[in-house]
Amino acid sequence: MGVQDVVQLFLSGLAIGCIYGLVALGFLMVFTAVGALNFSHGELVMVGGYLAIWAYHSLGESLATAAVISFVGTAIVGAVFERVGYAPLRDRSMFVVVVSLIAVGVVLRNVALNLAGPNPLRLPPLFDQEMITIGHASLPTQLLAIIVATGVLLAAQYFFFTRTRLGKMMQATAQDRDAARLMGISVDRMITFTFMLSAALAAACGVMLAPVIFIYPDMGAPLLIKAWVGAVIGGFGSIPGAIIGGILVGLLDTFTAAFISSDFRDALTMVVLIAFLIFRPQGILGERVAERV
Amino acid sequence: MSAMRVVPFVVLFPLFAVQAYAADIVLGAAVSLTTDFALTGIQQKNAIDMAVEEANAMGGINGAKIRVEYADNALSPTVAVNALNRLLSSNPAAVFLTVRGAQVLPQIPLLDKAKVPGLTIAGARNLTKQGSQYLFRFFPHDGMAKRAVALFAVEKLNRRKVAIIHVADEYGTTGRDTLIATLKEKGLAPVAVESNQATDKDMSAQLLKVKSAGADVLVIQNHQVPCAILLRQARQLGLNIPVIGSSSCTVPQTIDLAAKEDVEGMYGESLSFVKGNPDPRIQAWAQKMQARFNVEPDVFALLQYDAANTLFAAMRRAGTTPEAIRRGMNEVAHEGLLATYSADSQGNMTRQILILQVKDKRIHPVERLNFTKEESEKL
Repeated sequence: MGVQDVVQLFLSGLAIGCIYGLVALGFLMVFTAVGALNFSHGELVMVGGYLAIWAYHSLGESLATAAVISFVGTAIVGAVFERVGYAPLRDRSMFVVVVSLIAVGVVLRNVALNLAGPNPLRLPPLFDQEMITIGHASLPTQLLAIIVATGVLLAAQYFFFTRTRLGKMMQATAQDRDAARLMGISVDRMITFTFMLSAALAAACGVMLAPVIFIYPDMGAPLLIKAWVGAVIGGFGSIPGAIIGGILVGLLDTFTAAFISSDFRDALTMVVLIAFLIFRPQGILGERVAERV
Repeated sequence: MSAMRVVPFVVLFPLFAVQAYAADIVLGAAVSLTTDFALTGIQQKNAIDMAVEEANAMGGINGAKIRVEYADNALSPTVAVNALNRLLSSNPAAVFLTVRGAQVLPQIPLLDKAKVPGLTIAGARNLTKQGSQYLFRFFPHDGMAKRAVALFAVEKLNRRKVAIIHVADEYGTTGRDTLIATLKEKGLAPVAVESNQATDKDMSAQLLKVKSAGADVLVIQNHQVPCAILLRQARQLGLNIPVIGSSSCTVPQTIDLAAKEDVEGMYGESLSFVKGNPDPRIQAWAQKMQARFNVEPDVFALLQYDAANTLFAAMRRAGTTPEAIRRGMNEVAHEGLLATYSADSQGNMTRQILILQVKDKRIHPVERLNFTKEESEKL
């Protein structure tokens, strides 16, 4: 395998890793805000993809319009998701909340199956020029777009949480709900906004994936599993850790298949996860939590 | 009408209803109606419904109407076993099973125990090697289909460096094994054998290994979505070698999903094809299905339709009890839309393979291979 092939492998792994990272990011956003593991976050990626495809074909075949409709529509679905799946049960145990969120995900899958049918659907490529030549390597434009878009979304998120009033209120709510409430912040509203932002991030993943891997009702769970592994490896709760972990999982997947064995690709990823859980449970960027005995 | 006159009808109606139900022939269908696997499951259901509607419109089977109860296999063998158990509790005369070999395999002991015939359109070879007297298979098994693919690659395309990418499940691995065994007969070994999960999103590593191994033909043994991803990435990575896809790669859903340039020139194996098939009977059937269900039917739907009508022919010939149906299925030679169906000693009902090629997003037949019953049993 030549240098060009290795570069292509690296970019493929990096691109799919960025998607895992973004999925993990949305997942962690909800976890940080309310302490609940939203195992249906992958279904929101699916919803975002379907909305983009619907908007593209129904509203003039504009990818920009499709993306905007997808972000807004999925954010609204995220708000409904929170009102139905989380808000009525927020004072119950985490187990109850997690089961409820999983149940809402099943509903979303069934709705998608009945509205869109079982056939996978796709968006056309985001760019007319499908390949870009860099040096001796010929690279798919779509993969480069995913990598660049991940950087832009991270920067936008950083700006939102550190420079905007709404972002700061959401962050304050995530850090200490009682203190935020005493400061006059509407905690319930901030939690709804957090679900909406998390869903909009999921929609971004759906829009980017729709031309590459297609959209179908059951696409969410396999994505979320890889994103979850990435989040744990990166340091559960850490935003940069989620991205770094996701990228590591993407690269590990790709290079294991290329240089060891495609048969053991998933197995090796899980072995790495177990190794982290045993030897560095806080992950790459997570902080060790000391407990006083 | 006074209340006193209505009461007897209200009381007696359930009895009439029960009596009408008792005269029906109950069939079961354990297919995937949800999840990714619904892609084919919905096609199966539509075809069964159409065959039953037509048979009932013509007076049913010896005067009795046919009724089908459905159970959802979803995507796991465990759910499939539960689905079949639920159907068997209704004492069906026979059951239709899914196209997924991994789901059918654990269902076979249940059929044997209940002594109820099961009809599948799955291709996995080992299904009809389990010694069951109650399983009948309507898709040409992979022992024949993958042999035809390997022979086509070597003898017709004159290729010597064969690479295989298969999905890591029952369907993929049994197909892979037959391909390797046939190549071995020809004194060849594949230059690369790579696998993928059905849910994988990126196959560039496998494809680059195929490329760096110097393969001159790629055989894809996969399901619809991974097949479409593989075809796209193969082109993007500049893998300019002939591709021969499994039957899932040549169904309309996969061809529609892929870009024209991704599938152009791809070969594939199947029993037949629907879209663009020159047979006017198949075209008339496809139009009727499209009008009735608003879904473009594929070859699996056509095969399922033929399977249902073969079952009805067996029932008319031998009777409608499960044991009579088993006997009838072994005796019948039913001419369907695609083929004439008759059982070999293992329950394989069809033995013809068609090699196809996609040109301009349409399927064109390239070569037809017919196997004998003896070859079907041996391979």
